[in-house]
Amino acid sequence: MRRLTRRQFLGRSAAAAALVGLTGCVGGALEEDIVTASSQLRVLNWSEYIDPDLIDGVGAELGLGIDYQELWEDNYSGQDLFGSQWDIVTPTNWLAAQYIGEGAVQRLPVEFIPNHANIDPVFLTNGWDRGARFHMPWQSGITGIAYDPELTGRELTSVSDLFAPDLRGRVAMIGEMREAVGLVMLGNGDDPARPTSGQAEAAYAELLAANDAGQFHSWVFNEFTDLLSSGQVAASMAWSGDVVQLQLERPDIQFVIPEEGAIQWFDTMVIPTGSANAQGAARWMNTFYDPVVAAANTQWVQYISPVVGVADELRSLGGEAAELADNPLLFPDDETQRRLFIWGGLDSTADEQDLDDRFAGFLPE
Amino acid sequence: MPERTQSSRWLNTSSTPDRLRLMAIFVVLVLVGIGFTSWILTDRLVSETEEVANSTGEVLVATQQVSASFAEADASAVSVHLAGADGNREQRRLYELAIDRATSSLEQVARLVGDDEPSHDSLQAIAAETTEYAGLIEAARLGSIEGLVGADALLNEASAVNRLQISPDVQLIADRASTRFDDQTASSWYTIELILVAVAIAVLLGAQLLLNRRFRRLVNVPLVLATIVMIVLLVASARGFATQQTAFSDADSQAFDAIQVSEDIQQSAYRHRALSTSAVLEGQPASGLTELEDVLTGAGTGLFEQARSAASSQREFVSANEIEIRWDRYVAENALSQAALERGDLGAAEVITQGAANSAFNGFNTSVEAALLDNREQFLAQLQTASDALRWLRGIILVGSLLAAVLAWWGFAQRIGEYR
Repeated sequence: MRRLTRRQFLGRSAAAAALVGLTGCVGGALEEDIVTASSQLRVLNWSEYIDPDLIDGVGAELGLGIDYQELWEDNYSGQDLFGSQWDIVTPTNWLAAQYIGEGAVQRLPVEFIPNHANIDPVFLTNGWDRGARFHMPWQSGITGIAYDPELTGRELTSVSDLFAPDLRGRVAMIGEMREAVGLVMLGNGDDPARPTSGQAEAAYAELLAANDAGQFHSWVFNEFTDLLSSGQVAASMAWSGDVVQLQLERPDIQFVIPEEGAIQWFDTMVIPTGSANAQGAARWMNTFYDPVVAAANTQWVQYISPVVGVADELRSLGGEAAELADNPLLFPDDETQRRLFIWGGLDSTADEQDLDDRFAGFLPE
Repeated sequence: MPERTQSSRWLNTSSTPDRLRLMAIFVVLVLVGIGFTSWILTDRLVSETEEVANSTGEVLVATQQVSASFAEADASAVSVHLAGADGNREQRRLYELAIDRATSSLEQVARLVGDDEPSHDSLQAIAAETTEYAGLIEAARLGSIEGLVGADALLNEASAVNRLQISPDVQLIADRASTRFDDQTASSWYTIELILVAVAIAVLLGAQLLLNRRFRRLVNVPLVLATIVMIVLLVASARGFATQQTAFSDADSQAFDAIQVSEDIQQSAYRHRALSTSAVLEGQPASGLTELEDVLTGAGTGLFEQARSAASSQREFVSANEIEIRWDRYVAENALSQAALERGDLGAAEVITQGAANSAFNGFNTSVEAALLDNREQFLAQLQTASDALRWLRGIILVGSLLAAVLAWWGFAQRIGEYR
């Protein structure tokens, strides 16, 4: 699972902030394009986002001691990263874009990453880093709609279903601004990959109005799966990877990419400026872009792998692994991919931050 | 030698202090003159070098980006078109972003080409052609949505505008920038400056020799110091010019060669893509694809091999490999599309062309673009090194020469003073 509950999020944010404070004291020279190396690699990732066996296995293969922490929550500013001494962190795509703009992360030493060629082209055309010179996607997912057909009494096919009167008070929403606003923008016929402030504000206003009118049961993160499986809500904004897990217990729960489209997000590996082991970080990235290793991790995390060749690798393994290769939530086909949109960011970072702050402000604690 | 005889006679007719004063004035004038001349020459060299770094080099790179952007626009437009009434917003976005990038690069070129009329003429033509191109694409898209018969022809026409009008105009600007680059980096003013400084040293040594013979003293400290100052200037100038020339040579032979190979790769690849998509629109397998593939992948002479040979670092080498891997993936997907055309399955060919083949081509295109960005940074950094190598020289060449002149005057003044 990629995300935590809001309470966990807040708690761990405080812990991470304290950690930043401690490690920030260490400081260090800001070296760009100098490929540093050491025997220790410090990786900061989201929780439960890697097959635990792979951490030591890959570390041993690379001859590196791995300090792997699961405290990442997109809660570091670019300034925090400068002195953090982490070698790899995994921000969500929109935050990675900010880091690159701020110079908080360094250009990848691709001389150590021949498997850079295995990045799925979907992730190469982002305007903020065309060709992925500064980042390598870790895992990706889709934010769409999950529902219990028995409780809804009908198929859900559109973003507008989240606002339907017959589901009033029985819809859970995910408290991520870019995903919630982006999804509503799609419903309005707008393109969240190229959002304008006006379109985003209009979507935000719709969310606010629906929330005030009691349309939504709650704003949650991973807990939407509990709400769905317990029948507390009939439908929810949903993360594809969590739904794949939920369907193991509740195969009747449906995940739908609305006809207007859905939001695709990805968490991506970057090397902070000032990393003490950029070379080790590059070799770690290279290993996880070997389809064999990436397939092993996909079996465990069950999100969309950004590595070309993983589906073939899973098929070659047979059994349950091969079934995963045919799961459209892990391997969207071309037709589905065409309806997925990665948040492109508002032209003004300040406007986006302001919207983010207001969105966080109206979420219940 | 009549002059020498005349000069000797003239010297013999004056008193020794007068002769020394005249010699001092001569030496000082030579040093000041050489100082100012060298300053002017260095200033000119610095200006030319800065223009290469800040203008010509940027134009060369920006023109490559224009080509890449139009190629991506073309590829995306075809996918949007083939999607017909279903539309394809992702590809539509890529198309619009590509046009935005091309426009932005053209604006950058317009700012940097200075008063080069032919380049401005080409820019104006490209602006008009871009409008025509975008209009045809939009008309084709709307026609495709409505299922109009002429929609495919409009798209082909748009591709032709790109290939036959926009590309040659962009190439003209690139060629002119390339010629300017060669002219600006081949300047030989530095040779003249080095000769002038060497002349100044010779004059100072001659003056010391003369004084030694007249006054039977081995050392005139101020004149020796003046000579040392000029020798330091000579060494510093030689090192500065050598650094500048090496940086130019590296920029040309390493980064720019790599940029040109990347451009050649792009041109062949875009032609391949255009032939393939046109074939799908016409419902017939394309011809000429194998020849283009050979140009790119041919053993020993292929452009991918050349890109690896032009690589001046492991980073570039890995990037060149990535480009070839992504090209192979695109060719494999495209072959499926062409095979579908051969068996008359137009539907399958369209699906592959706007789906897997398009995605693979975008992967290839962005990897070339990323390599170009790396080469661009290397190229501009090397040009900046060339510029930095001379900037400080401009100041010290003048100050140093004036200092040497003051020291020389002082040295002569010491000897003149001995007659009082």
